[in-house]
Order: sequence, then structure tokens, then C-alpha cells
Amino acid sequence: MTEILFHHVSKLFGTSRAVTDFCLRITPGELIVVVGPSGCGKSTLLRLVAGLEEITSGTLMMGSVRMNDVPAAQRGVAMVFQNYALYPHMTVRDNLAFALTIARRPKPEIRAAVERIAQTLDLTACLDRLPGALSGGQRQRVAIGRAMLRNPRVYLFDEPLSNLDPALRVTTRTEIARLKERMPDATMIYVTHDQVEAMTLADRIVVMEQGAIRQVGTPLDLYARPRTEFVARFIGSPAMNLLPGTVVRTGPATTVALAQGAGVTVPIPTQPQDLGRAVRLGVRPEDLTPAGGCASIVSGRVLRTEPLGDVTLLQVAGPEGTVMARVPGTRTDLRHTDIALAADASRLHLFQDGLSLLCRDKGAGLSADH
Amino acid sequence: MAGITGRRSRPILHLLLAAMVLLWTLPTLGLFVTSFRAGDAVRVSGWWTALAPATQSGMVRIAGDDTASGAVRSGSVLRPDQSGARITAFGVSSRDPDAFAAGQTAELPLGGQLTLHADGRYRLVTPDPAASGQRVFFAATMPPAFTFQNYFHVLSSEGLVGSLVNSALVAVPSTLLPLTLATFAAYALAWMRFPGRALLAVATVALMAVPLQMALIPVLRFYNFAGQALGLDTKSFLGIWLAHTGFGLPLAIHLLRAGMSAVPREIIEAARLDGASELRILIGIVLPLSLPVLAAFAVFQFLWTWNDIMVALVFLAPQEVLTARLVNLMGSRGGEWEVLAASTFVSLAVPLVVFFLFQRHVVRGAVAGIST
Repeated sequence: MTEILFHHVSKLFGTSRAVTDFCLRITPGELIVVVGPSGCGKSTLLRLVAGLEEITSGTLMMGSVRMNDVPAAQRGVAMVFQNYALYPHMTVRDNLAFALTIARRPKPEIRAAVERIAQTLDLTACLDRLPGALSGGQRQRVAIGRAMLRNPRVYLFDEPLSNLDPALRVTTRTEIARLKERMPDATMIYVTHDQVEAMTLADRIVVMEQGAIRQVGTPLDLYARPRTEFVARFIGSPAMNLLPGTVVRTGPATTVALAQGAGVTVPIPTQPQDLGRAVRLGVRPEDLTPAGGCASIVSGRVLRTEPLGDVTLLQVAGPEGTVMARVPGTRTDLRHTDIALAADASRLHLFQDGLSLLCRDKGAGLSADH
Repeated sequence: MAGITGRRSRPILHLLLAAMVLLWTLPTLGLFVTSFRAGDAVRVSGWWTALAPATQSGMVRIAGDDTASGAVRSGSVLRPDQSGARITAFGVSSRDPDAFAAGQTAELPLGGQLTLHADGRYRLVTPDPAASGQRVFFAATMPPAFTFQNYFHVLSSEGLVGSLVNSALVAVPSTLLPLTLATFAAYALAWMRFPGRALLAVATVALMAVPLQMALIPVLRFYNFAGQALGLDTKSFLGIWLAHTGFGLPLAIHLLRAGMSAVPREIIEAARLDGASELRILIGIVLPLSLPVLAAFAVFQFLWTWNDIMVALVFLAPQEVLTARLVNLMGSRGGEWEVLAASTFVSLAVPLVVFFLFQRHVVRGAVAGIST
């Protein structure tokens, strides 16, 4: 049961900022998923927690202990790496036992612990093999097992599924979820660029961009109320459509005029001074449904259809540019036809200068969440 | 590179390679064959004729023998070690050394007859048993003859064994010492963070550019000074070990650092998180994973210290290493190529064995050093 607290943590490599003024409280037993595009500082963040990098400024607390200067081995954290980082010249058994051997635990205890973990992770059959003789999924299970054997307070996962093929990714993801259920007390930080992993595993998601937190929240919170265009487009697949428009009526509900002249009323409050401002209307592809006539938001010609079996993705060329829509069933018949798409007004988003109008009043106070 | 080594130029490339290999190995082969030939064979024909029968001429004086009871003498003109030879012709005067065919009987100018058979047996009938020796000239076809005699000779009587031991006493510690030191240095340069690390790494690489010939005398002077100050014998094995270690360290550190850097960072970080100390990471993780590079350097350094003569002459006076012994042999046995060839091959054998034992590692390790 360990709480992790980041207090204005920054990390500089030379003069370039990898992590900027990072503030977050991770509650005990929470599984936090950090997502963001490559180079956003999410892996660096993990390495700061592990003690593999030094914190430039700010404070990192685990429980009630300041961790900035505690050596990696004494932090009680275990890390699972993207490339597994198994010791290639040692058998699976020795890989698993390495930490306990170094800690000079009695041999029978090590043996028992290794065999228990191997049982849990279905690795008993390959205990005496070298990592090179294992499949990718088995290797990753050994890496996870090696972390579990140390019985750490905090688990760190650095893109653990990225090197696996898609089918294996799904099963291993499920395994990690099961593992978490069995260890409700373990605090976990999980870094990925895969938003499906983030949505399915996380208690809370941290979206990072350029070393800073863009938004923190539960998966569904991030999906329903993205604070910025970046978060809106990062969470959800295909990405949210953003249509340029102008505010034509303000009040408790706002009316936005889109390029083709249609007015869309969104139940998001605006101030009188917003009148005439350029905004962007956000609508998710899965919220768009074919509709007739005046109720439509977007209309245009279907350029491409991508049938996925249960749903069909439509690429529609409208006056605002290309819009993606996701309609149920197989609708290849819609190709090269004109279509009008509508959406529930409560599922629309409004952004001005990249920031959601819903969150505007909170200002730049992103730390309000912590 | 793909264009240069493309399919079209392959035959030329292979031809060139074959020519180079031949050029490099032919002298060694010659040396090898020569070392197994008898000295007189070496002097009359080249080593490339050694595999075919050779024609050789000789002269034997059948000496007068006071104890001989009769006027008939018999024996063989061939030595026991020439037993395979066949006599083709013989004569009894230097003007006509092959006047008679084998098996014929020659009338001697001073009376008497000489019969010489193809297998070398002769029968001499002479009127005067006390006469001075009768000269017999003959031409013989020698079968290809190889002998270990040269090796027995050089190993037993030319002081080669002693210098072989000396060479080993120089080369083995001179390999292990820099290997051990460089292991620690390379690990630090590759995986530990400290100020000035990059500068140190560059400096060691720069040291590889210092020619040994230039540094030798200053190093020797400093070493002598230090030895005298500490009251140590300056012409000892310790001196040459230190000298070889010093000259070998830059390459060793560079090569090992490159090899150790190739170990994935995550593996070392995982070990660090597992609580392993730096020493434990080095010995338990990094060393086993960089064995090819270690082997490569060990082979390089061993060959270099084994073949070295200059450092040995400067730093090791009373004891003689193999190379120095060979040079001395050149002076004292300059004409006896078979002795020199055998000695050289004795000195070659050890590096050859080492190289063939480790050649896989040498190639892999050397490539690892280049690619970084």
C-alpha cells in the first residue's frame, strides 16, 4: 500500500526538458496508465520513479519517504521493460531468482518462491530453458514474474506489450489485468502509447505531451470530457473529428455555424464576448449516424468505406474537410453516395485555441485534479 | 558497399582473395616443409621439390683398414638414414663421377675392382690392403624424406625450450594483466556515470595512436629511475609485464568498452533494480555477455606479446625470449636453414594453436570493436 506523490518534478537532459513540473498523487493500489506520443517524456517519468534517472528538481515521495536520493535497488520498485531485459545467459529459473539470490535469501525459500511464481504464470515447463528459447509472450511473462518475485511496493511497466504480436498483446493484457486484481494493494504505473491498453487497464489515465500533463482522469472521463484537442484526438479511435466553425449565439447553450452554413446548437455555456469567435466542433466518429435533412451536422460524399465486420468506417468529404464516421453493420453500399450525418448534441465538444470550452473557466489550473 | 561486392565482381574478388591467401601462406608452408627436411637435402634443392624424389650426388672414401684380413672389402656407401636411396651411377675418379651404371664392376686405375649395387652395397677387391682410401663417386635418387630430427635437435640443444618458457612467462601475464585492468576500466567507461567520462574514453582511444617505438625509451628511462628509487631489479619479468600492459591497455579498453556498450541498457538497469552492485553486474551480467570481445583481445594481445622482440630486448636482459633466441640462431646457424625453419615453426606453433582455438571469437570481437 504505497502512495506516490510527484511534487513539481522536472527532469532536464542538458537543456532539453524531458519532464516539466509534473504534479500527481497516485493513491495506494491504483493502476495509473501514462499515455502520450513518443518522446513525450512518459518513459523518462517511469525511470525517475525507478531511480534510473536523477530528478532535476521537485520531490518524489513514496509513502512518507522522500525518494529523490534513494538508490534504485532500495526503492522497492520493480520494472518490466519493453524488450523484457532478461539476462540472456541465465536460465529462466536463475532469471527469476536473481534478485533473491543477491539478497542472500536461503536457497529453499528462493526455490519455493520461484516455483510458486512459475506456477502462477504458467512457466513451470520452461524453468530450465534460456530466454532465447522462449516465445515473446513467455519472455514477457518471465519479466513480469521476475518483478513479482521481488514483492515490490510499486510495479513499473514500460510499454510491456509493444514487442508482442496483436493476438498475444490481447491475452497478455488480460493477464496483467488479472494479476492486478490478485494484487489489489500493488501500486502500478504503466506506460504505453496504445490507447486501447490505457482504456482497458487504467484506474486513471495520465495524458502527457511535451513532458507535461495534459489531463488526468478515469478512462471514461477522458473519453467523455477531453480538456484539450490533443487529448480529444489521442483518446478514441479513429480520432475525433474537428470541424471549424464560428460562434453565432451564446448563452447556456451555444450555437456554432459550420462552414456549410448549418447551425449546430451545443449544450455548452458561453459568454457574450465569445460571439463571433472561431471555434472547433469536436465529434467522435462513433457518435455520427446517418440522418436525413436539416438535423445533419456534416454532409458530403463517401470517398471510402472500410468494413470492419461489426462496423464500417466511412471517409466523408465534406465542406470542412474529410470526416470519419463509424456506422454499424457492413455498409460498403454507401461508397460514392452522398450522405448526411447527425450526432446527439450532448456528445459534441467545443474547443477554442485547442482548449475545451467546458474547462475554460478553470483556466490553466491543470493541477486542480491533484 | 553492395555495388562493390555485387554479384558481377564476385569472381574477381574471389581470385584476388585466393591470390592474397596464397601469398600469405606460401612462405609459411615453405618453412613448414623445410623444417622436416634433412640439412643436406635443404642445401641442394628447394622445399617445393621435397615431395618428389630428388637426385643427389655424393662421395665416399673407402678407407684403408689395418685390421682387414683379406683384400676384399664390403659395406655400403649410403648412411643408415639414406637407406631408401637408389644408386643410379658411380665412378672412381672426380673427372668421371658417373662412368658406370649401378651393378657394374669398375676396374680401378691402381689395380683391383669395385662393384657398386643400386642399394649402395659395394665390394672392393684391392691388391694392397693398406692402401689409402679409395674414393667412390655416386649419383643417387633419394625418395622424399622427412624427419623430425630438426625438431629433436632444436628442442634439445639450441636453448629453445628455455626461451619458450620465457616467452610463455612474458606472454601469459602480459595478456591477463591488461585484460583484467581493462575489464574494470571499460565497464566504468561504458556503464558508470562520472564527470569526465567521455573525455577519458576519447583519451584512451587517442593513446592508441602513440607508436610504441616512440614511447619505449622514455618509458624505459622512467622505469629505470623508478626501479632504482625503489631498489628493484629493473631487468625483470615485472618490467616487461608492466610495459606490455601499458602498451596494450588503450586497445584493450577501447575494444572492451565497445563490446560492453553493446549489452542492452535495460539488462543492466534490470540488474540494478534487482539490487546488484556494480561489481556484481560486471561479473555476473556484463562479463559473460562480452566474452567474445574478451577472447578477441586476449588473442590479439597474446599474439603480439608472443611475437614481440623489441620490448623484450629492452626490458628483459638476461632472459631470452623465443624471438630473441631466433635472432641469435640466425647469427650462429645462418646457413642451416633446416634448424632455423624448425625453430621458427616451434615459435609459430603456439600462436597458431591459440588463433585456431579462438578464431570465431576473434572475428566476432574484432567486428564488434569496429562497428562502434
